[in-house]
Formats: sequence, structure tokens, C-alpha cells
Amino acid sequence: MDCKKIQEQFTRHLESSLSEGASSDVEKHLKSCSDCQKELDEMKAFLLVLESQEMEKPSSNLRMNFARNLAVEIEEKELKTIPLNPKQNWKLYLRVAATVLLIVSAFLLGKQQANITRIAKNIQKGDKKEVLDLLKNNSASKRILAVYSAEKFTKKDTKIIQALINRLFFDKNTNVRLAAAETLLKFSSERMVRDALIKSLETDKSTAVQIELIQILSKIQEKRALKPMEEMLKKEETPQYVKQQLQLNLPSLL
Amino acid sequence: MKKIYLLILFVSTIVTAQKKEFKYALTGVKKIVLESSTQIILKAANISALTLSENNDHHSEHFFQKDQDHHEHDEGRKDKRKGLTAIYPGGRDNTSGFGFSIIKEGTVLYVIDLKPNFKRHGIKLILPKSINLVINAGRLGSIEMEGFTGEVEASTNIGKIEMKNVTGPITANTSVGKIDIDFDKVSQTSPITISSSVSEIDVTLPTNTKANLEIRTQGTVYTNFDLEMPKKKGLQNVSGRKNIVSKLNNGGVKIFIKSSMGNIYLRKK
Repeated sequence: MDCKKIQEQFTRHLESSLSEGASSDVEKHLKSCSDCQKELDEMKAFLLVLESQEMEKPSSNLRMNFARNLAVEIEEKELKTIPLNPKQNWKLYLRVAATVLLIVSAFLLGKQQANITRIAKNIQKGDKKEVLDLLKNNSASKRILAVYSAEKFTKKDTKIIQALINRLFFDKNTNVRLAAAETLLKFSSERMVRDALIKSLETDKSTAVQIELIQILSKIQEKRALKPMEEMLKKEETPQYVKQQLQLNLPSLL
Repeated sequence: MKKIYLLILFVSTIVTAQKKEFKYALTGVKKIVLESSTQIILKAANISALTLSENNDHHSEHFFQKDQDHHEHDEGRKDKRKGLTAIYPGGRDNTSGFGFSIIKEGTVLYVIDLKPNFKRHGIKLILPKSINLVINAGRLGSIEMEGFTGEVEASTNIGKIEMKNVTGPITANTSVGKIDIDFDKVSQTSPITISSSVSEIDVTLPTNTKANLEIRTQGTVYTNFDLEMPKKKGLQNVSGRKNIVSKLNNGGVKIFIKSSMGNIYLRKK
């Protein structure tokens, strides 16, 4: 029983990591017990053998074989993952470039979209400058958007009214002129607007605009329009359907 | 070596195609302004060039005799033309004999027909799908187009306007010509306006189109959409103006259809 406990402490004793008390206990026991002494000697001998044993080195042949096999293995792996063909490499760059381009263009598009919505919002808020700028836009549809949004202003905004009259007189697109005439109806209490509508009736070549103006002028009871309307009715080149509109609307001005 | 073959092939294609087709690269062009008072047919394609050709589709038997005469005249005139070039009061022909003037200003390309209407039997153009178009068919021309996704402005006097599979924004106007527009979907960016003085207007919209619709005519409106009917307030206008204002699918972009006297047909797609 005692021997077993002592023997358990042998390893630590040999490593001299036992406390001083425990170490002297072991030595005391060793002197009295030959069995344990023998056990310790055996253990010492075993450890000595372990220490004296040199580490066996693999032959250089093996090392060479291993290195070669590894190189082959690496080469095989590399062939699979990274194409050595330079043409394909070029394609890869192209793909990367395309991806970058896609991201950038998506970003720019988003930015532009945001810009458009911002303009649309500002127009809804009634930002005068935005409307005036948009009235000069290259796109007819955008100019029409501006003309319609000009409805929200009051008759005191002479700049807006002036810009609308400009559209009525000079816009190349018939639909923009039509929209301008229609919006100007809202400001028809202004003399400037009435003058412009009469002048436009005398000069506009488009029959659609002519008909719109005939209807507007009779609606606002503009008696000064009587003379140009009667003249149009007399003119031979006035199309029959425009004359029909004149005949329909003239009586309301008399 | 390969490149040289390609070049030779390219040059020979141009030489052989010269009489029938004219091509123009559209790099940096966002908008095309086209003016011609003949029958104009526009087709959309996934290309980045303009292809211009004479339209031979309607050279029916009726025209055959006349055409032959025409050709004989041409043959006879060929010798007389030798060493001379055609000049036009409207500008310089830079389309190798097609009689068009093509001028690029910034991102806008102006394609102007220099020949009068009676010298043409219609033209056909193939253009990029998403290009913005401004087409003026003059006094006698008509417009037919299909598949464009950009903004389109079209105007004619007596000719028809026919658009298929477009998205808008559209600004179409005619005095007496028929208008027939079939939308694939409706762009919400800016208003769509379609107007005519006397003729009928036929518009087809996808059922789920979001729009603030306004229809005005003294003719009759036919539709299979559910529109809010105008409520009578006091006496009707003497001129009999009819104004239908209605939201489609809770509202969206403004669509304004106006014919002074013609009927309006609004269909679901």
C-alpha cells in the first residue's frame, strides 16, 4: 500500500518536481525497501534508453520522392483552379471590367433617377425656377409636364405667365402649344393673356391649336376675338372643320 | 491577315450595299430628329447604328408600270449625271445619293429629307431600341413604328400615326390623320399627350397601367376601362366639350387624349 503510493511519485521524483518533504519521504522509503529501489532503477534505466536513443532520420531518397510527389500534386491542383491559358485570363479581366462598369452605371442610373424624382418633387412643391427651366427642356413631354405644373401658380407670377405665352407662340411642338393655351385659360383674367390668345389665333398654323383657341376665346367671352374669327371664316384656305367650330362658337360672342 | 480579309469584306459589303442601304454609326447620339414628308417606317433593333433604305414593300403591281418608266428615265439620265452631283436647297446630301442630310449636333442627330414628297415612295429606318425620336412627317407623310422604348415625338398633317409596342413618353399630334397607339407598358417619367383635330384616336393600354387620364372630344369615347364619369354641374357648355377625367389604378402619369371632333377608342390590353 505504502509502496504503491511511493512508486506513483517516482516520475515526479526523477524530474525533481516533488516538494522537499515528499522527496525526503521517498528517499527514506527507498533505503528501507529494496523492491522500490529496484523499481526506481528500472525506471531510470528505461528513461536513459529513451534519451540515449537517437531520432531516426528518413533517408534522403524518401525526402526526394516526397518533394517530387508534392510538386506533381501542386501542379495538378494548380491546373485545375487557375487556367494558364493567357486568352482566358484576358476574358477574366474583361469580366471584372464589365462587373465594375455594371456597378458604376447602376450607381449613375440610380443617381440620375434620384435627380429626376427630385425635380418632379420640386415641381410639385411649385418651385418657380425649376418650372421655368423645365419649360425650356429639349423633350416635348417634359415641357408639357412643366406647362401643366404651372397651373399651381397665381396670376401674380408674371414670369411664369410670360414663359407660358412664349410656349404658346414659339414652341415647335403642337401638343406643347395646346397645353400652354389650356393652362393660360386659368390666367385669362389678365389682359396680357387675352391679348396673347387672340394673337395666337391669328398666327398659329395648326388646326388643333386654332380649334382649341376658338373654344377658349368663346368661353372667356373675349369680344375682341370676333374680328379675327370672322376673317378666318371668310378665308378660303381655312379647313371646313375649323369653319364648323367657328360657326358653332361665334354666336356666343355676339 | 485575318484583319485584312475582314476589312476587304467590310468594304465590299459597303460597296454592294451602297445602292440599297445607308448606315450611320450612332455613337454618342441620344436623340434623332427626322424630317421627311413620305411614308416613314421605323423598326427597333438591338443595334447602335442607323440603317436607312428605300421602302419597296408597297411597290405593288399598280406602281409597276410607272416604276419601269421611272427606271428608264433614270437610265437615260445616268449619262447626263456623269461627273455631277445632286444638290438640294435644303442642305448637302451626305448619304451617298439617298438625298438626306445628316448632321450631328452634340447628342442630337438631325436626319433631314432633301427630296420632295413626289420623289419618294417611302423610307425605312432601323434604329436602336432605346433612342429618343422626334419625327416630323411634314404635310403629306405618315409614320409607322414598332418596339421603341425611348421618348417619341411624332407629328403629321394628313398621314396616319401608328405605334406598336411602345412605352412612352409619347407626344403625338396630327391634323386629320388617324392615330393608333399600342402601349407595351407606360413609362411614368413624364406626360403622354395624343392630339388630333378631326380624326379618330385608338389607344391600347395594359390593364394595370397607373395613370391620370384625361380625354376630351366632341366625338364619342368608347372604352372597356372603368372610368369615373363627369358629374353634371349646371348647364352644359354650348360647344359641347366633353371632358373625362379619371384615375386608372389609383393614378400615375398624366395621359391626355384629345381629338377636337373624332371618336376616341381606349382599349385594355
